Amino acid sequence: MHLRSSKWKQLAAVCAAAALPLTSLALEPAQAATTKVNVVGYSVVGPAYKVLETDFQATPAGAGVTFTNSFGASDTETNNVVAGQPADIVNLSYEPNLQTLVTAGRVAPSWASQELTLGGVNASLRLTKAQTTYRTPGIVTDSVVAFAVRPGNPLGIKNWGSLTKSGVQVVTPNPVTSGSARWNLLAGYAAQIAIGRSPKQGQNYLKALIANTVAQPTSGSAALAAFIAGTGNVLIDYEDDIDAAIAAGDQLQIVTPPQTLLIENPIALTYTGVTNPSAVAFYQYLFSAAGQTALASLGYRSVLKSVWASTESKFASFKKSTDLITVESLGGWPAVNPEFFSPTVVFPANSTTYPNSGIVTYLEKFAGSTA
Amino acid sequence: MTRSTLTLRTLVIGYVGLLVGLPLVFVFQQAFIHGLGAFWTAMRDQGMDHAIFLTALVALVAVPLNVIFGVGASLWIVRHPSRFTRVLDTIIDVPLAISPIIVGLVLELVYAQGGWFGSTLAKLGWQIMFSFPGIVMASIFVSLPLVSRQVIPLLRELGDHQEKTASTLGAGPIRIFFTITLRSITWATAYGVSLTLARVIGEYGAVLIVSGNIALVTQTLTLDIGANFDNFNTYQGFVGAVLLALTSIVLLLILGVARHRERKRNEYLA
Amino acid sequence: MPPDAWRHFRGVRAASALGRGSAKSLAVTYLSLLVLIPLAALVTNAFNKGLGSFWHAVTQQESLDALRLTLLCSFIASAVNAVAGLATAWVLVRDRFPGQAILNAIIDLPFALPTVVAGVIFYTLYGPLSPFHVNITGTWIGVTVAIMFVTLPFTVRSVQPVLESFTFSAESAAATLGASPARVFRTITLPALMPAILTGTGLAFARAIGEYGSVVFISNNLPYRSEVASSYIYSLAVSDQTNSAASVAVALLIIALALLIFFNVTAQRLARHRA
Repeated sequence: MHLRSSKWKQLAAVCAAAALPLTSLALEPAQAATTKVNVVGYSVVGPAYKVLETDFQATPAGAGVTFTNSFGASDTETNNVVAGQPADIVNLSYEPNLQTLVTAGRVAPSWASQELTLGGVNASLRLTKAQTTYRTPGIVTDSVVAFAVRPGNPLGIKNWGSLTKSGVQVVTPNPVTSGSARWNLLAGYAAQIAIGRSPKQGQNYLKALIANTVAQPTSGSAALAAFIAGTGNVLIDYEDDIDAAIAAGDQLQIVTPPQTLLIENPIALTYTGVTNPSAVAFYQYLFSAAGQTALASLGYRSVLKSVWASTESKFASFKKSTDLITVESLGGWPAVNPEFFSPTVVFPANSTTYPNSGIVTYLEKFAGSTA
Repeated sequence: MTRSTLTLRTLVIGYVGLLVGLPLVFVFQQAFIHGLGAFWTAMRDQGMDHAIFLTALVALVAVPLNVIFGVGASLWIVRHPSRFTRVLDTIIDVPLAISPIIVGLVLELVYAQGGWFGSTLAKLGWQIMFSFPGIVMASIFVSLPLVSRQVIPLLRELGDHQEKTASTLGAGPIRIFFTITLRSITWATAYGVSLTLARVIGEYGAVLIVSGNIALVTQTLTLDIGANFDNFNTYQGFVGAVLLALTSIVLLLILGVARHRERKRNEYLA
Repeated sequence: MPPDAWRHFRGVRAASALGRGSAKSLAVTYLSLLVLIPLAALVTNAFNKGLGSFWHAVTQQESLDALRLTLLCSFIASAVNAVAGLATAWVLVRDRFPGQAILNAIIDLPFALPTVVAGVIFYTLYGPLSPFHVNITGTWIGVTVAIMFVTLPFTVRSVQPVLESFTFSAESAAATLGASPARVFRTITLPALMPAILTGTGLAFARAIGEYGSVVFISNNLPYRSEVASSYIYSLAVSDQTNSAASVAVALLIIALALLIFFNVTAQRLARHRA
């Protein structure tokens, strides 16, 4: 058959182009509407969900439920969910990510109270302020900002003040690309406030801290990898991440500073998740004693009274309740996020060295230009 | 054997060995550090199996498309120059200059729910982002010029004397195309295929964004490796890396053997 | 009827013209959907707040620092690989030694290896715990080496097929006339290879400025101090500064385009002169 070669090419190309969208059907798992749960989360918590999902599937409520999992950098995952990635449960790094989802119409504004309305959590079951952890609704696990040092702690790192000494090389992820880094830097500032310093002194501390950074990789896991590969002598990271690394055999030692920030990772059912009975059931499981115990065994501080009481001894403790600072006490994320991490630096009328917006942005630039 | 030949050979082997060989040795060492048995078990990991299957499927669609477009565009640009082809010539290279992560974000800008075509696609029920088509598109985007850039310099160098001669002797255009043109660019196209295949199976950043990184659904082998590194499964990650490396190496070895055989055949005929 | 006579039928000629026309439109559609429209989205996002906003984003201190680091390292790495690529292609085509097939087979490895793996490997081999006691992390040298790794295939593979297609007639003629090998190379071989070298180097440079995964890790990514352009763009994109991200990305694109056009035009001119 003497068709012109270009006609063959056309035919092939047209077939391919037509087939392309249809191929997506080949890869979508069977749409069993109510027994599939789409989980989207920040990268550190990924391995925990593997365990939790398996455990859940062994319970009567979880029999026959299948999961799809997408874990990665919290901001990227948030971005993807906004762009339409299917998600029933979102467990992200920090609250502003959830707020983005609310604004984009993926999650209800009342997501925090889902814990009480849908999660089966009785307010009395939750820890109270008096027990040194502040309970924010919609938080499924707690952790704290801690340091990883070389085995034996050769530099004798003991608190946040140690990090600004000369010769100390700090590794922390980049606060613009990594949600976890925002916790890390905020913790440094918060610790200063906790020991009675003024906000201006807190900013000075951050200036010295950032000047001491030798690496700011794009994600928490990249920062951990760089530290393990020998860069720097102290890594700022989540307590649960450091514990997981040590459990996996990495040569690290954890140092919990006497004052630090409480990390609270929010969780929510999306609009599609709320109407998915399996998703709701899994959400309940995460807040149940069984789920919280599993999380505690993986290095996360539980939010349930009973589970915290039985696992408390595994975690570093704090002398005073004010030693474990919360973002709430600093003004809450909606205020703190722009104050420290806004890309636009704004100075108050009476100062040109202490911004009241974009503090970290300003300090990064300062460190960069005076290095 | 002149001294300069030996020097050049040593320098090149040294350079390539240091730059590429050393990392390769490292990857193999890490992947086989627990022995062959552990390697085999790691390969049968569920996540990796699905990732291999998905990557193979993506390659099966993306590579031929790129080859068809690449060869066609090359012939056009060289044999029928016009203002359009001059623009085409430069545009083909542009995708390579865009950082892979940005590629992913830009594709999302156009084809995701809030994007330019988002609502139209949703109405048609076509899922492009966070699904197979999106991965294929991203793969094609990042490897677009690889075939053309092999074929075009060769076509220019060869000129069209042979084709003109054949035409004078009475051969038809199709016959000329298949027996002379294609034959002359076989090896350039072959190298283009191996480069494209390597790039498609090794792409990380763009696919990370566009696929949504959904384990066991849209995780290609590179994403599976990345996830393993993130989750302290370094060994599993290196096993995946070795598979990718071997795919490229084995293909090139096969091409090398085929090339060698053809040379021997031509020598015999000459 | 002789098999070739059918092409003289007007119908077939019209169909072939139609064929070429629809091939053109199909190619345009393919290119549009895949490349042109996303590119348009990028450019639109860069300029949707006006030229002033574009310029402001590109001339931010962090942007200038990142662009400077990226362009410097990309230039150097591409230049080095232009020479190394030519030498490697030469050794692969004109030489014969045991193990040559293996040398050929590993050239494409930098493409097949995902950037995350390359990053980890380079950091381990040439970082603080390097078995060779060489630490290039956090330096422009480290960035350049990583770029050299990912761009080698371009410069080798663009020259290789052209070199393979050479008949030795012009070169052996010159040699018979008494020209030294160096002279033959300089006056005959090199000019003939120049278009391919330029093409390969142009591609290498384009890839170099956009490279993210392997380079961002080895650079230690300190804003202003050791941040590459692709990382800066990514940080802008994920913090909702889409306009700025697109602006810096487009700025890089314009620089790459300028170089590519220059190289392509030169390559075309050289090819035309020789034909």
